[in-house]
Amino acid sequence: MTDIIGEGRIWTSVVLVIYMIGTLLLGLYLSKRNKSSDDFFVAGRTLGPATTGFSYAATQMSAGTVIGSVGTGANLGYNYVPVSISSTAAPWATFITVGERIRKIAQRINALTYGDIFEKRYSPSARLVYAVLVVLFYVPLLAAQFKAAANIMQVLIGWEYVPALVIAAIVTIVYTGAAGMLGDAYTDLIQGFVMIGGFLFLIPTVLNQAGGLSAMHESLKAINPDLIKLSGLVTGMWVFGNVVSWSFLQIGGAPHAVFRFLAARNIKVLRQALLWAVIFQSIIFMSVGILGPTGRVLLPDLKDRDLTTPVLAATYLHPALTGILLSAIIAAVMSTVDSVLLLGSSAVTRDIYHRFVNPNMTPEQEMKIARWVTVILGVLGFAFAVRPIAAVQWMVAFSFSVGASAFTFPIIFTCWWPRATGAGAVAGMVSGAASCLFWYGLSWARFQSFSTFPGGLWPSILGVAVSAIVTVMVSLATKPHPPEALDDFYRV
Amino acid sequence: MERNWVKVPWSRFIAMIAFILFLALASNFEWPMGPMGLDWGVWLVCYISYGVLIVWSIVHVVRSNRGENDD
Repeated sequence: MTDIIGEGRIWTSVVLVIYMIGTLLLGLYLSKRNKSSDDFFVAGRTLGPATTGFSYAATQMSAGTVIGSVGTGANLGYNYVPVSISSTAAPWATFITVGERIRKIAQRINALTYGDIFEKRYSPSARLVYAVLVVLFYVPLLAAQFKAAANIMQVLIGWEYVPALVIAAIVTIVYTGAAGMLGDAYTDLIQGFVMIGGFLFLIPTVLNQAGGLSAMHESLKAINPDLIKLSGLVTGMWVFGNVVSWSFLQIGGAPHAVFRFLAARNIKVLRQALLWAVIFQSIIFMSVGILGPTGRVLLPDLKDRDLTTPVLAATYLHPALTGILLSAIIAAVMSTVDSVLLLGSSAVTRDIYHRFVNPNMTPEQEMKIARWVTVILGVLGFAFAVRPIAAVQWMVAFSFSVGASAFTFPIIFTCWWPRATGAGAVAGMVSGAASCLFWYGLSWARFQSFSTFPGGLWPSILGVAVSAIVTVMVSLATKPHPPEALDDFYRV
Repeated sequence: MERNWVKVPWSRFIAMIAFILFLALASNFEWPMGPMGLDWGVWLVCYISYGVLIVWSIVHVVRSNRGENDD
């Protein structure tokens, strides 16, 4: 098939292959440091500030950031700025509201997963509900992300879909299965630098081509005066829904990202990690904010605006530098895939199998099983990506919203509200997820769309509100947990 | 026995809500034209938002290095 890179595809492919091999070797090297499930799930709580911060940020960003956000920025111009900034606020919002507290609690009760925390704080049922929702709504994300990686290689450098899928799947499954959180976090760190490097090559080049910022703005104004303003192309409700979702709701909606709070060396490291994450995300989202409008000016006839970043790179950069940028895009995908793999593996191995089927497992046995579960989940994701079925695609569309609806308030209450009860948390998770899915169903019934909602109300915002109210009401109606059982959670 | 339990850090939650409202509401205004051909809303949102995030994070690290609020 015709690809975007064209003649430079050899250079680009070589850089991409070097990047893939480097990632794979790093994962295999780090696997030697894994001795038990503590090491596999939370890296033995040894992650430093840069690794924790970059890992959080790289996980939170996916193909949607590098491809989709730039495309939306090209369509909406500077109307997209507030939404773009809200993604930068995700580490800040999650760190300051629950991050530090969750890390402290995890240390005190020796929790390796959110399931551990939910069971100790609420009840075994809360752990089970959490694990089932993760498996149902996050594991299918693997298929979508594998598919995105293969599509990118297919469109950009002309690789066939299935071989590209096989390469992306093998590399990610091997380094995550071998090295767990350590492999996940250190490859995220490298992937973060690759992403920054890719953008730092591209931004000055394309701005220079557009004649500088002022000239670019003049050209943008000539296309549509609303593109250089903060408003005019979007509604306030659309901005509000996006801003809430990309900042505050990441607490529950991105468990694969907030999971790594448990792996930081200590609270002080976690605070330093916040600075790393914010700087990293600021660089990426400022770049996204500039690339979108510049792409609109330089590529006015581009039909699929999601291809703005790769087409800009292929048009204006040397093929080797395009290879770095392509690696950055693949890195964004892989950093999300490895974290979802680890999240799914921990939910199946520890929260379901270890807790409810084989409670006598040693940490060493648990790690071995977690490795195999990682491989099995990865192969399942690969299999669904080869021939995606409708049900999987729906699960992917719903995953963030369902997670945000179900988990946000039970996590916040774990940190700050001693009166919350097990029954309240379970009712809150179930009602939040159910109301979110109901709203999607209603949207489909009325508009035949999963992105246009009745009254403009986002399913995640409705779900999180229902979850909060139900958790509070059921908790107040049920018997409180004894104070001595809560001491580890609320002691200063 | 009196338990020394945590207090909800309302200031943090309020800061986050204010941040979200600021971003959402800023899009509802018609801003006058500012430097480099952009309207003032774009400049204001960028400077205030990135400023808050970066300064807050730096202050957090500095306080942590002084040993405040450590476990």
